[in-house]
Amino acid sequence: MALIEVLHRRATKLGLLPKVIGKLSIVSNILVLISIGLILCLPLDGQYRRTYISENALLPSQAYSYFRESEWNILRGYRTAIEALIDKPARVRNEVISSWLTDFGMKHAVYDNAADGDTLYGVYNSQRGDGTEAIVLAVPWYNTDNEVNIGGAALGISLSRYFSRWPIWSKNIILVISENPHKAMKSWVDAYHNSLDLTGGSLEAAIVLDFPSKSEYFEFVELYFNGINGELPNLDIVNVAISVIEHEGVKVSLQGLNLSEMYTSSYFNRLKTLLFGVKNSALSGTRKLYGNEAFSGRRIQALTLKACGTEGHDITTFGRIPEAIFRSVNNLLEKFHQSFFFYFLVAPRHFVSIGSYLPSAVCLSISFGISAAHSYINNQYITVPLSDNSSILALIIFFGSIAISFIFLQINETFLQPHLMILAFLLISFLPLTNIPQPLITIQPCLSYRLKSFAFIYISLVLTSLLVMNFALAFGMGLLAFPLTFTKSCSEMITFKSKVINCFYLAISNPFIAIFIFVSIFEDDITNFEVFSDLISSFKYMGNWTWAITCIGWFTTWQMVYIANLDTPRSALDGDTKKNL
Amino acid sequence: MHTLTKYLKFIQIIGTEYQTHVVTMRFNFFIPFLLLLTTNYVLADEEKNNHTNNWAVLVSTSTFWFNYRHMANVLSMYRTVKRLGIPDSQIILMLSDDVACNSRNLFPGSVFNNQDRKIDLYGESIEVDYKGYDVTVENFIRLLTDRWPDEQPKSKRLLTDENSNIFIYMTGHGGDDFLKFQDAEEIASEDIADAFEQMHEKKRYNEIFFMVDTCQANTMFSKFYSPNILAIGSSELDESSYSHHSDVELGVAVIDRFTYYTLEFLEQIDKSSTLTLEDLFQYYTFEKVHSNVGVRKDLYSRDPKDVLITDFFANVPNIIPDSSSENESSNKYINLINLAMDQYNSNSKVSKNKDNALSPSVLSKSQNFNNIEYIEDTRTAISSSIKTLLVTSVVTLLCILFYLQEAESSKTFTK
Amino acid sequence: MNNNYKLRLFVLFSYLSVFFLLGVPLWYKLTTIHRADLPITYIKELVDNKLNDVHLKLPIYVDSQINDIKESAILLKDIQSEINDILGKNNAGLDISVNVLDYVKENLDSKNENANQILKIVKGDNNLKMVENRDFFSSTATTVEVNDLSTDYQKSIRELSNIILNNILGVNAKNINTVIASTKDINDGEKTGVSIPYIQDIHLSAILLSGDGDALGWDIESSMSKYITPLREMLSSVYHFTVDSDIVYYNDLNLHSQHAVNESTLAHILDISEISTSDEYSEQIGLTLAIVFPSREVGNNGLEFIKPKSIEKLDGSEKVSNDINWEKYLIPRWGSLIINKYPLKANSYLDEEFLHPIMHKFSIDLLEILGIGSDMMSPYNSLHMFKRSVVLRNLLKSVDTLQSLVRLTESFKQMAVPEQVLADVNTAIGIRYEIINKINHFGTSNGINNNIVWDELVLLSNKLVTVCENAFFDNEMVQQNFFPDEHKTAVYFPFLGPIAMVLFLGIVNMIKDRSHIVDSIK
Repeated sequence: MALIEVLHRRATKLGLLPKVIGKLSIVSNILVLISIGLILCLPLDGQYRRTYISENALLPSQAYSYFRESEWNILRGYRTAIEALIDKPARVRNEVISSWLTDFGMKHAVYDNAADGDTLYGVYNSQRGDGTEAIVLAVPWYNTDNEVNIGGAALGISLSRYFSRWPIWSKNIILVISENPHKAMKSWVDAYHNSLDLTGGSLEAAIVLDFPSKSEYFEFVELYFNGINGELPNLDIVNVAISVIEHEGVKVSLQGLNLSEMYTSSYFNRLKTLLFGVKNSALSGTRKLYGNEAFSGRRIQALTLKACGTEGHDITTFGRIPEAIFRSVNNLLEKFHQSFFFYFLVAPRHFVSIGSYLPSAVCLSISFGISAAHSYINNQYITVPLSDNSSILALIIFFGSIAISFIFLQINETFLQPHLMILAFLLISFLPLTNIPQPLITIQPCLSYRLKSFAFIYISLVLTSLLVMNFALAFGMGLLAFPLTFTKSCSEMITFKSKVINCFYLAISNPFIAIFIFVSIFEDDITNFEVFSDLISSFKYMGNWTWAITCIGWFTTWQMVYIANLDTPRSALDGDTKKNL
Repeated sequence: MHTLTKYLKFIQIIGTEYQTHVVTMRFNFFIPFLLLLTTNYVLADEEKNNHTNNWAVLVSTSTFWFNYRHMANVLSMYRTVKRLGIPDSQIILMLSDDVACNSRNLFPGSVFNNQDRKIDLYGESIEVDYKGYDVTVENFIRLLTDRWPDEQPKSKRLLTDENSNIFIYMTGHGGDDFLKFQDAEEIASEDIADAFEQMHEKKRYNEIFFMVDTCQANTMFSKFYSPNILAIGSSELDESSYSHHSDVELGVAVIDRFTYYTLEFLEQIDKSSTLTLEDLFQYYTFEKVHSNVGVRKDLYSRDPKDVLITDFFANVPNIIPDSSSENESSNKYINLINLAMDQYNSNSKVSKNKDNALSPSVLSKSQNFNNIEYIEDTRTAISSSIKTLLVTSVVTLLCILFYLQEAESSKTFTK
Repeated sequence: MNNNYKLRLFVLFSYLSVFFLLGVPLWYKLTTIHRADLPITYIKELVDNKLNDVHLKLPIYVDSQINDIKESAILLKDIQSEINDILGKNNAGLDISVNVLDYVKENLDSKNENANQILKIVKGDNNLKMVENRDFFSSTATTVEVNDLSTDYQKSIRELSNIILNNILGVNAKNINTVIASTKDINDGEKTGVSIPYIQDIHLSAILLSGDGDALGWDIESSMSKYITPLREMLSSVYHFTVDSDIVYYNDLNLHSQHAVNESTLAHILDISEISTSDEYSEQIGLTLAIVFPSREVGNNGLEFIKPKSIEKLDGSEKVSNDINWEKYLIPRWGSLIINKYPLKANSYLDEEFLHPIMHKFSIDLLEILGIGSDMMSPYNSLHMFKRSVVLRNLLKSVDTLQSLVRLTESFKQMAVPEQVLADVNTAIGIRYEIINKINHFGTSNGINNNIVWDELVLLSNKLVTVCENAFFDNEMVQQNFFPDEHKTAVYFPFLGPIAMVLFLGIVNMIKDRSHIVDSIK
């Protein structure tokens, strides 16, 4: 108690508190820098941890895998038959494959979906298990690059046949052959949980196989596990997959990086893996969908294994990977719960958990909060009580912005004209430079400050609630929206140059412009103007909430700050100051 | 030993109170005499320190497929103990999970403790007393202290007496002063110590050999305080116990190191073996077990060098051949037997006489019985005929009534 | 301001009253472990003076046929004083006295002649020698031949007293010491581990084992009823037996397994675990008669270590020699094992003649295992002594059990003591009181029937032991899982701590305000 008193006295003597309050904007900026710095610190030695298997039951690679030469012949047979089916329509294809499934005793059915394509799936009931849970082996016929997944399909069928020969399964095995890894797969998953008759219990895990190459060999495996809305599978299954892949002698690549980056241990490689992980997590649903995203939202641990290259290991090696993963998952009695659900892998065998990276997002949202305080306190309107007209007006504008955002949300992607939209927003951002809005719309400075503080509080709340579930989106949105805090109210702007800078900040913190710029620079898989239609379609069909949050969270804030930055007439300004005095 | 300490204390107390020369003189006389008495007593106690029956309590506490090796541990000890002659009625086997019939078992119905799969431990004639969810902390404590409701069957109770040597083996996952039961609860080492104290209080054991194979196993017996308990654990505080090897077909580890080397040692034991517990203790080394095996001897009165393995692991019956002739020593029994025969015969003669006296009336009784039979027949015949008569008369009455009613109603209708 | 203060005071007091008047008693009631109040001091007293309240008075009826009434009265008085002397020197802790009474004078119960223990003094050639006549073997009367009493009268009296104490009543110093000493032996058998301690319910099994699978039959029912049933009837007041028989095929206790079986390695090869299933009967102890025939794998010469011999049988009055091909082994606390030399032929039937010597030997072994029988006394007298010792030992055992119970409840403070235990303890104390009353008041002049009272006491004492065991092994007294006090603080402190803090600070505030108000009034 006494110590606090001493500190308190010292602080008041130095006048610390008023100083800090006066410099709140700088504090806010410093916090953002700290936030970025924390992320940059993570790949440093000592900040990340070595991966380990938390669930003792998993025992990866303890059992010997027998999917070897004799199975390869069977696989070749299926492969040649599948090659003949490439150009056939889906119905014919499904019939032929159904007959193969019947041959080795798999119950099968076709999920008819005219819009997205029919999906054939088979359920193998485990002989001695209790049949309440299932593991899914998913094979999209056309993979995410629209190549025919010949190897994957052949593997899927021969693996199912191989599994049906083993009596050791305690869970059912489901083979899914869908048209594509996004809409078709997702519609099947939704139908499975709602309307399908032939089911095999609750889905525990899903492995999606992607082997498009015509050769029977591959060089390395790319592992994808980012789900929609920042969801990730349990770290245990990712660790099991990586451990199994490396046990087979194959190299694994994460987040699309190349092998030398993955296996050379350096700060920059780890940083790249981490940042790419953040980016992919934020943009998942809009960029290429590999198949595991279709299983998001239902606590199904889904992974995609993509074979890359044409020389090196044979296809049965690739088949042994899902076999070993299935054996491990088979050992479980409970759902995955032991290991982390929020993490980032910085290398195949190293990761950071949420405790390490969360502080940076927290700092971001706090910085917005401090900006809000700055807007509220550091002007002459601090004495104006909260129940003033200006606050009520600010609230009304707030609700109005939300309404506009909702309308935006309903845009159909077919009607969307991205070019027009970007242009329009650019124009709108630079509008205050002209004198057009001035006679029509003027706002009181008090209202301006209140609007800004409410806006920043609002976005701070949005970020806080988004922190844990979708760190990538929260971090990205926070960073990209931060220039909003640099904008100054009209009363503080005198020169034209400062006005230009203001409008510039408004422009680059506009959600759509910002996303467009970001995607153009950093993301290769999405063509820049298509990002919006991708966002909207994934919101509609894949359950991706990014578009909704962008509109309702970010866009609303932008609108409010934009309105707050509209010009205030000089005379009104002087009048106000006279009044208050 | 107990009395000796009491006497020594007594001497101490008196020694401090009385300081006179005379008393000390008396003492110099007294003490050797007392000591003589007490040593006799002590010797008598040690002579009596023999056991007459052997019991084994074998407990596995972990569930799930990947704890296969714990079931294999316990079943291996069960097999050893049965091979050396302890009957099933004196073995309490507690298996907390059924790995033999687990759907993940590539060899259903079998449990192996070695990857060569030569011996099937779950083969024929094993009797599991407590299985699955019955293996709980409460049941284990109840078993040791014999506190059951009346319905508990004998096969599930530990019916030991003061001449029983008990071998208790526990395996599973453990920690500092606790052992995990079924992944849901724990038993503290103090609980086991208190249970042993209750057993000692009621003289339910002669000696206990407590073996535990878990992580940090030595902490489990750190809190014991009852006498005549010898304990051995597989690892020290903050040390893990390791598994020995896995079976690649099953995909799990099949045996723990400590138990593996224990079994290796015990395979050479048969009922006539003279190897001692000290030999067993010397057999464990850090290189083999990869952890520090701990032994607790301070509560045990004998030296492990003098204790045969078969004292705890085997049930060697003491077979006394017939003495050469029925000499005087069995006369006392023969007298009793003859007395019993005489009494019984005289009693039966008396009852036979009584029966004879009654014979004429017996005959007449039987005759009467025949008459009665006959009468019974006629009676039944009469009664049955009366019954039928009644029934028919009632039926006819009803018909008449019905007819009358109908007639009336038809009359009304026609009207 | 004052009103505010009063309101605050009222609120504070109401909180405090709820806290202390309602909360604390509720918490106490819900968290204390129910421990019934056992009569600890009474039991401790019982333990210290184990049999101090027992005053055993045993009557002995002397029928002196060598002298006339007056002389015999003097003889009886002298014997009485000698016996008192001997018993007085023995300070073993048990109060026993013997009443020497005249057989002729007393009006004895004629219905149960064997209830009274009698010493008959007759004239004979030998001096002071017990005669083993028919009375000796079939009644409680012991006859002593006396030639000349007058020479060395004191020695004769002492001899007669010793005969009474040792050979009739069995109350010599050694027996008393062994009864109440802590080693609890009653006979040498228990010291060597052959005989079992007394328990009322015992199961007997007769098992015929054959190494092969051919059908067998045996005359077990008639043999049992002829040889075992009389024993059971005689011992029915102290032991309750249940009997069963069984034939087991393909099991010869592992005898065929090794060729070098000899008597010294027999214990290591024999495997009696298969036939020791105690789950089929409800008694705690089971004794077995096992008759084993090896399987044909041992060969035509049979088991080598068994030598054919002949035993003598008393057939009427002449001794008949019987050739037998089996050997009997006694397994302490388990029963008898008869191992036959040769395997059985198919469809064999064991008749009564074969089973008779086996049954006889088994009866002897049975008595040895039960520990009944005394070298020095007639069978009836040894039975009487056995019953008395059973009662006394049961009394001691019950007090020991109660003492263990009390020690347990005192050392395990966390253990709950249900009301049932208290009820059992009180019942036990009541029964014990009843038994001791009956013992102490036995022998008063009315000539109460001797035998029946001891039988009744045996039943009562067995009931006492059962009640005490029930009290000790009550199934609700499972020691609660170890829950140290640190855990309790850890649980209660975060819950009660803040509330208490708030209340306490509130009180402090109130006091401060009160002083302010007082000051302001001033």
